[in-house]
Amino acid sequence: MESLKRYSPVKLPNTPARTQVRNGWEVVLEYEDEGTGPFLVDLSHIGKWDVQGEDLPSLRPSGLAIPEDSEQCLLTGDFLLNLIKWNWATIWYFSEDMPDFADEYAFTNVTEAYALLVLVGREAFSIMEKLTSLDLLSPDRKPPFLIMGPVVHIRSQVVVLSGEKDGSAVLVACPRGYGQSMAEIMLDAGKEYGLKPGGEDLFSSL
Amino acid sequence: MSLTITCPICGQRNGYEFRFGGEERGPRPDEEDLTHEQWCDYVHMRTNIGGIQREWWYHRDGCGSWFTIRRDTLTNLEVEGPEET
Amino acid sequence: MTPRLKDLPTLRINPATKLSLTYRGRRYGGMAGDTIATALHANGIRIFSRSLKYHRPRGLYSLDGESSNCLMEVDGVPNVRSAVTQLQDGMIVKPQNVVGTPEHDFMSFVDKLDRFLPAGFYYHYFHRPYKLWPFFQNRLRNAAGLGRLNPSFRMKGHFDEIYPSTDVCVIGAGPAGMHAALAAGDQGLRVILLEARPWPGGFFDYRSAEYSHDIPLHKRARQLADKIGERENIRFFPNTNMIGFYAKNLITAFQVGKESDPFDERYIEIRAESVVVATGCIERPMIFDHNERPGVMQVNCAHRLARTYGLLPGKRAVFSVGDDLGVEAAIDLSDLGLNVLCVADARFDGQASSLLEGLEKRNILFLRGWAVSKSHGNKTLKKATLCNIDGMMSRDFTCDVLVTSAGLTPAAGPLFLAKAKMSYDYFTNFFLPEALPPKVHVAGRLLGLMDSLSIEVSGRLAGLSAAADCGAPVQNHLRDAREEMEQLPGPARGSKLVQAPGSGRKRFICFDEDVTIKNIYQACDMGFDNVELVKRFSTAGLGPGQGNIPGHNLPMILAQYLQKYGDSSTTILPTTIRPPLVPTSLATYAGKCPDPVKRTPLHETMEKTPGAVFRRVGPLKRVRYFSNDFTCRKEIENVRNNVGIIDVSTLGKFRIFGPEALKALQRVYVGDMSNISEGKVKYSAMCNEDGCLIDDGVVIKRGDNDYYFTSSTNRADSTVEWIRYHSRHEPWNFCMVNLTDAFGAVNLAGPRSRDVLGMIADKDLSNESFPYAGYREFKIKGGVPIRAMRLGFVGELSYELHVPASYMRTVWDLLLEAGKPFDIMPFGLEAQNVLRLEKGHVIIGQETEIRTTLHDLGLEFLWHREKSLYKTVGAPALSFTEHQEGRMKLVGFKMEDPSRPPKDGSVIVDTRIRGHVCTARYSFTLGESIGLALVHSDLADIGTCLEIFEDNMDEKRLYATVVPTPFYDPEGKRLRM
Repeated sequence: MESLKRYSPVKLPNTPARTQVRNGWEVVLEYEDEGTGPFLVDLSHIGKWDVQGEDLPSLRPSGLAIPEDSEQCLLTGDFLLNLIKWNWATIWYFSEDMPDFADEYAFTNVTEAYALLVLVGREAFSIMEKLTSLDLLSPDRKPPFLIMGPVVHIRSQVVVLSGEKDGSAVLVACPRGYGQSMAEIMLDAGKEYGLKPGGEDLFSSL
Repeated sequence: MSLTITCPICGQRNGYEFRFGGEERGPRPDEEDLTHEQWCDYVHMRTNIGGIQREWWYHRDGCGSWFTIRRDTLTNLEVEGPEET
Repeated sequence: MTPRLKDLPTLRINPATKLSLTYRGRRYGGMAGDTIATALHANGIRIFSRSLKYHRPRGLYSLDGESSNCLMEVDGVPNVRSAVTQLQDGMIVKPQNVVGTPEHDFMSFVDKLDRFLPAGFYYHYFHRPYKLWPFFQNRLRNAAGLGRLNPSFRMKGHFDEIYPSTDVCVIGAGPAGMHAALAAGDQGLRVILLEARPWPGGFFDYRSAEYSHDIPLHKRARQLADKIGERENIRFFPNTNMIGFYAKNLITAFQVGKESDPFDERYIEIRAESVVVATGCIERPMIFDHNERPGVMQVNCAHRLARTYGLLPGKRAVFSVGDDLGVEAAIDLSDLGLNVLCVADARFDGQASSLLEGLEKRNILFLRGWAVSKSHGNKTLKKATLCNIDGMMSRDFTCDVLVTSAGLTPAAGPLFLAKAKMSYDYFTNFFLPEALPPKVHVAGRLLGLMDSLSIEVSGRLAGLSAAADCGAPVQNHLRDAREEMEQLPGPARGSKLVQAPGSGRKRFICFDEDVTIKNIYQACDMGFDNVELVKRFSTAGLGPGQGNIPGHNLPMILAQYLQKYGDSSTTILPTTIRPPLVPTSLATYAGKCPDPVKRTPLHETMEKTPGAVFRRVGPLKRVRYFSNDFTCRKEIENVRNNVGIIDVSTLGKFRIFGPEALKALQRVYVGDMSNISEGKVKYSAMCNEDGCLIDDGVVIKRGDNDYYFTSSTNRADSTVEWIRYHSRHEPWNFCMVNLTDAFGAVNLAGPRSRDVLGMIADKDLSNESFPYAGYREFKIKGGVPIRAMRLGFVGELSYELHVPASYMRTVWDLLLEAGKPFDIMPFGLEAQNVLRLEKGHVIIGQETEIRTTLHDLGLEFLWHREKSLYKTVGAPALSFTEHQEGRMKLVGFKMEDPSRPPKDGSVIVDTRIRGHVCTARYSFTLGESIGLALVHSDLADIGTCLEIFEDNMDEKRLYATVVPTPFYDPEGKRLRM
């Protein structure tokens, strides 16, 4: 049991300074020489659930209500809930010990289906501008919000946690198989801004 | 390249995010008493009008919904506004 | 080197930062702020290149790079526009299209042969006898073209792209554009401002004429520029050329990077809600004899050489102008030290009185109603002949600079691209917009305005209109701006003169292609009387200048000439403008070209496995071989005799659930999905509406209305789309989740696979407990949850294991460890290919074409006929084609020569083509060469002899016999072990 290791689809190019083993995942909390930002953080290990069905409005996962407006996220405690359309929602959980919804019919565990990369820092939007034509800074949208669309032509879920002025964080969830390529492309696009791999602690402190 | 399509879930997006699903031609015919010709017409024949048609699009790079829009085939632009009867 | 003018507030050079370049092998000095052309001019270089056809000497004519005069090879890159390219230290510059030296070109004799080279001469000459044409065509091709391209040249530098969205996009940062940007920006909207030059300011930037209250225009420009810089919501892009304008206000452009930028050129694609076009004017060339001799230059070129770059254009200058800007330039340059011999103005009246006073005060000869008719000089300008408009009087002036233009042309390229309705306006002699597309606005000199205040207010008005399009509440501001416009001067009268009097042979309308006025008349006389036809036949405007030198002169000349045919009704129309507006390198359009690769969860493990050879399969990277032996003998034999393991993670995997999930499955699968037993997989196929096989997979029932099913690799992305498409008219309540990436998958295959799996699984794997076609869920080493199924693709006892992706590598390692005593070996796609071939199993796309039905493949047993209620996709076609004659059938064959399999794709022939080989290999298992082929149905019977033709075979043939399939273990005993 102890040696049942789990691997993230993403391997960032830098030496980890501090790691923690969590449920089989080796999570990098901090890298050596992280710099002052912007940062690229790999959160592929966090729990993710897909919730679908016509009875969505009446569901209360962990006692929380799913947002009524699509795109608008509910960020509370360690949960990020989002309504994509009237019968489809996503739930992400940022810490360990995520509640298990395995017995609930409408829930499918999709933790493994996505690679999740986070761009932390004000330059996150300038970097994203090179990778997608999605309008993440539209004044019609208030963070936190989730939209689905192509990033480097790969269908992704993009979450903007906070806007430019508030020390941004942009999360990109793409199919797991593309995770490594996406990380490499992001690091290349972010080179001019000094983008470097960052550990999970940087994200948790937001 | 500049075509935009309004997805009912995700709003107005770049045309490249979508896949075209053909003219709207109604639900599948019943199999009873179906002739070769009727079946072939349903599968292969199109009206192909020059003007505004109702057609299906799939939001491939986004929410994955199938929906219809009205597009003017002469300008290749989505037509906004109320539906004609 | 010419000493630079000092202490001018308009200078954009920095003499403290010295730069150098190498030109024709010699080093020259320049400074920061110089373009390559200005640096060369400062060093006395006057002949920049030789022209395309006649190899005439050409020099600096314009600072905006519209003509091929200034094209040079820079650092190995041909056709660089030296007049708009910032000088960087150490550039290596070479002249183009020169045979010999720019001063002594050996091809210049062609200039004297112009009589024999009328418009379109290559359509008439060298065609009789026709067999000589290839010879002349090659000679012409060698002579044509400007820069040389080395096919092995690699474009250096970084090219990337950005995709900004904005509320208002303003094109042009002159006074009108800056006001538009500020007006929209004041409303809190997001504004993008594009400017081709390195700095904003437009035609205010270099002028000392008064704006108002003793503030010169250049100071006003800098005031506006400072305001732009302060606004956070206005994004300013200098060095940015707009190249395309598409529907829904999609604007494309590219930005040239400075030395400090991480990119050399950056492609910008802007989605704007509304657009303001304020691109100002270029000059309309004056056409006269030898109007392109080095020493002849445009008005704003001479003016900016002095004011922006600190260089006087020459020593003795003659001016032949058509508007007030020309007179102003003459006065200003005279004050800066240029010896201005005279100013000829084609207009009889209309000059501003302050300018006339200025000329008088400085004693500069002013010739009203005069224009230059001829330039003289062997290679560079030595003398100019001026005459009055009716040609009766003339005077000669010895000079080395002739500053001339016939007036202005609006740079309306963006408006034409935007499909604005443009029409000719007689008063301004401009093409003005008659009707604009929605949410597109125009400001500044594009409207024919020349007065500084009118231009500024027009900018504000356009900016407010653009803001209104975005929903800003600006009705009052708009009303005020409109009222203000009404009080200000309107469009200015434009000079109509195109050609000076005279009719020499060497009056050039297009510098790039060496087209003269005479060529235009020749084209007309031959019947090409429409401007589009004239352009193409004479080639005027087809060069790298994007038609900016012929510009609007072409339709005007044509209209004048056609009147001689009595055709006075000709509407003056310019030729169609298409993107790019400015020459754009392919590297810029290509951009970064990121190539995202899809990896399986086992990718890193595969990379570390010795011998693994990857191949790209669409976006995926998969292992095809595990050694350099591409027959994969070891891998294949090991699966048949021991146990092998292959990464099949790319298979599509899906959950479908909901009250009507079964209906959805019945719609797309041809089998009966209602009778799936617990613990058993159901193998079925999907067809398209023509009954042709598009996918196969297994379906497992995990609970009430809750299914888990698979698809082949290349249907992983489209299965959800397919099911939703074919149920789009139904009100069915069902949900789907794509789990393809959520699970890795391996196929553990071979007679010893049970032993291996048994070492790490916590489940009874005996044949009774877990038979063939069974489905079980259990744990590996008590920790990893697995979904396992016994299928038979490669024809041995095998287990397909679906493992949560993050655990996949660990499970692989455990299996390899457990399998050591059983000689476990990984096998790749090629080995799998041969193994399944031996069983006669099809790979969709390999053994099938898009027109191959289930019947053609012998798979009709998969089709459950009695489910017409579900209107299964493809069912009607399967009925209709069941007994259809003349179809292609899939057959197995064995080669006559057991050692010689034909190549995949070889054709099956008799007197014509009768089919093709889908896959064929030498089978180590059977000791024979076998294959699958699609053949006409009359050749499909067992025992038929097939004649096979392989590429490059000539008369030889290979022979085979049709045999039953499977080739190996026909009863399927090995699968059911």
